[in-house]
Amino acid sequence: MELCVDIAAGLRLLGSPTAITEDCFTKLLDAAICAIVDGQKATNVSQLCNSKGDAIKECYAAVLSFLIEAARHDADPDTLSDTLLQDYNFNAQRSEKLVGIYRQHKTKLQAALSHIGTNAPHIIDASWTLDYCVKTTSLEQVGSFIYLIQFHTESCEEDCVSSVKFLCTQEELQDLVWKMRDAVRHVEKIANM
Amino acid sequence: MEEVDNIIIHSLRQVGCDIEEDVDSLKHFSTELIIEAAVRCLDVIHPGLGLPHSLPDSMSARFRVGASIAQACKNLGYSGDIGYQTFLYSGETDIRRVFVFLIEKLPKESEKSIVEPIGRIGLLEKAVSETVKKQLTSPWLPRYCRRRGIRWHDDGTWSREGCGHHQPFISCNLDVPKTANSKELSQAWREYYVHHLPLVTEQVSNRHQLLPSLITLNAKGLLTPLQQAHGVTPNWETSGISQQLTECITRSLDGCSGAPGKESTLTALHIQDNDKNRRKETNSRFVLSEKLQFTKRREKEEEMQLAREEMERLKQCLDSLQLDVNKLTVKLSQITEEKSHEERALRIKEEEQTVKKRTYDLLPDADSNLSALQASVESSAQTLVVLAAQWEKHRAPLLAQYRDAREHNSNKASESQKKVDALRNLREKSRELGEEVRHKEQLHSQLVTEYEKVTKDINRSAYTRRIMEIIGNIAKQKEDIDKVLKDTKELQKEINNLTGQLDRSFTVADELIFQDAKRDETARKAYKLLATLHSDCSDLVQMVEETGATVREIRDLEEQIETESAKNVGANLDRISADLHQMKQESAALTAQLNAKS
Repeated sequence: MELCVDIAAGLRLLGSPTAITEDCFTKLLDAAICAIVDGQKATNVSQLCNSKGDAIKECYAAVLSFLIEAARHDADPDTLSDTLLQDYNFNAQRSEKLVGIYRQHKTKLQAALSHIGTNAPHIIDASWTLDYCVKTTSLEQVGSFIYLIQFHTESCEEDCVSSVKFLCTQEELQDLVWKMRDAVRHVEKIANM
Repeated sequence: MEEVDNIIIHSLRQVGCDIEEDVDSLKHFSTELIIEAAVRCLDVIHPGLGLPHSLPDSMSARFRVGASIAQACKNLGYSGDIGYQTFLYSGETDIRRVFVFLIEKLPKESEKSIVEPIGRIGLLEKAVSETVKKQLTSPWLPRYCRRRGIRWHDDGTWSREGCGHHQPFISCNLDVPKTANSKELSQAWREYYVHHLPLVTEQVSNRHQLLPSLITLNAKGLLTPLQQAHGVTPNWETSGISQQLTECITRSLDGCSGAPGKESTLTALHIQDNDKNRRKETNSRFVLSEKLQFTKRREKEEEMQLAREEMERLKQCLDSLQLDVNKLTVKLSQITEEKSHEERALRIKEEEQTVKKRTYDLLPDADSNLSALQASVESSAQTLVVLAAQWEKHRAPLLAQYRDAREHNSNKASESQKKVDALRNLREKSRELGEEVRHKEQLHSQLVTEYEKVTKDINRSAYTRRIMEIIGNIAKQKEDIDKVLKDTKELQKEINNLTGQLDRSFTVADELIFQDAKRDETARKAYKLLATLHSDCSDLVQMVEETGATVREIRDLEEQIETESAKNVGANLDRISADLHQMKQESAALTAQLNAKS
């Protein structure tokens, strides 16, 4: 895990007891975790602390970046506490507090990070209609099955269900089913490795 | 046999049999326990046989269970005589033989232990397979039961299912105050930072942009010093990223927020773009309106054309004028420079002139003036020498002091440098040691778990020790037996010798007395007595031999009785007759039922 100079400076500021009071430190951590995990915003600086607006803002950005980078690199809490003590001049109590919060919320942080990205539509359900084609303009007797398949998909950004529709013959459907079975078997193979 | 029983009981406990503590030999095994133990062994050897662990109530079902266990043993390759009676009406030796066979067939522990994957890739693959397995085994959840597209397991882990609530990576520029070098900042900047700059969480327009923006902030901060140090393309040889890629990243970062120093060009480009767009727009609009209102437009266009031409002319005029102005300013600067040159030359010349004027003034009274001048020169030279000496006097100690101070300073600097180096080394070392400690702790815990696994095998060494002891005992016993055999042989030899001696002495005595007996009456009596004595003695010897044989026979018989009683035939017989009775009752009941039904 690597932090840039500005954020490292902010962390050092956060670690020094003269710049940030103990009470303020706790409030900052809580606000940062709330902002990432629950999406609540610390609306006012005065909510966090009523003096040294610039230092608070810098520390807030630093602690947010620190938590996100640590979760992104899946950092080990013990290593983190070493780094905090040695490189960022934290005292044992503060480092313990910050790492404790990280340890407690690590999975939630990673879950929040997992929301970033784009994805193909995800099939959640399927409905079908089986038609029988009797004859066409060119053929007096066709006699083939036509499947009308509708996949219900979950779209990525909006919270709604859309659908993908297509027509296929029996062979094509068989092919699709085989492909799906193949995929399932592959996943099972990975699981039993 | 006690040793064997102990081993068997220990192995059965490992298989999972519930054997009570006070049971220490196969003699104390009940029929239920025997059945359970045999079935558990068979389950371990061949999982999926589906035999019941406890005996059923019905007699015929019991026989069936016993027969199927016996069949399974035979299928495994048991060569001895085996049937339902072995398990249901057990004899100790038979059961022992069966259990020894089954325990030998048990799969070894070492075969069961799975090879732990080593290395980063192995661990990753294992983690992937575990996660996939967990996801496969967890039940299906409808999409509205997930929290923002994520399913939370009971143990605190999570897995993404579906693709809902995905947000693209859109970041915006975040401004963070820098208090570290606040002295360089102007008052206005500080004022802005303290009172007006919103928090980073407020700077994003949408809460989904917060995380990407923070990631970008850090990445940009990491990249900017590199950019400044190495020009536009940072040298990333160490991280192994190709230069093209870094260029791409820097470009995208620039596009995202404008790296420092590039903002002006970027805005210029932006404005140009906008201009082009606007022109295009006007053009297209113009074409459209031309079609609609052709004539009006034309007039206007002509007017506009005129205006445009005039504007063009004015522009050209302006350009030429500006060019003139530029030329003139250049000329002006040249002229001012020349002027300053001339002035300097003038001043030098004036000075020269004053000197020359004074010399001309002094020329008429040349000699006296010359001597005076010389005197003054000499005196000034002397004063110069004196001053130089004085200066030297002051200078030397000062110089020494200065040198000392400098040396001292450099010493101090180097010392502090050394200390800093030492500190850095120490820090590095402490970090290394910490890592090592962690590594060792891991190893320790791993070894502890391994040790716990291993402890079960301590019995093995105990058993090998016992086996060795038994072998020693056997050797000792063999020696004893050899000794006894030797003794017996010696005794036999002695007996043979004595019999031979007796025979010989008897024949000699017989002959002597027989010769005398022809003449003497007493001798004849003695001869008769000798003959009876001899026959009686031989009778006695025969009797003793017969007694020995009988004793041996008795011992054999006793042994036979013991083996027979070990099979506890009587009890088994009782049980068999009881079972037979029960079976008869059962069949009678069944027949009664059948009759009642029909």
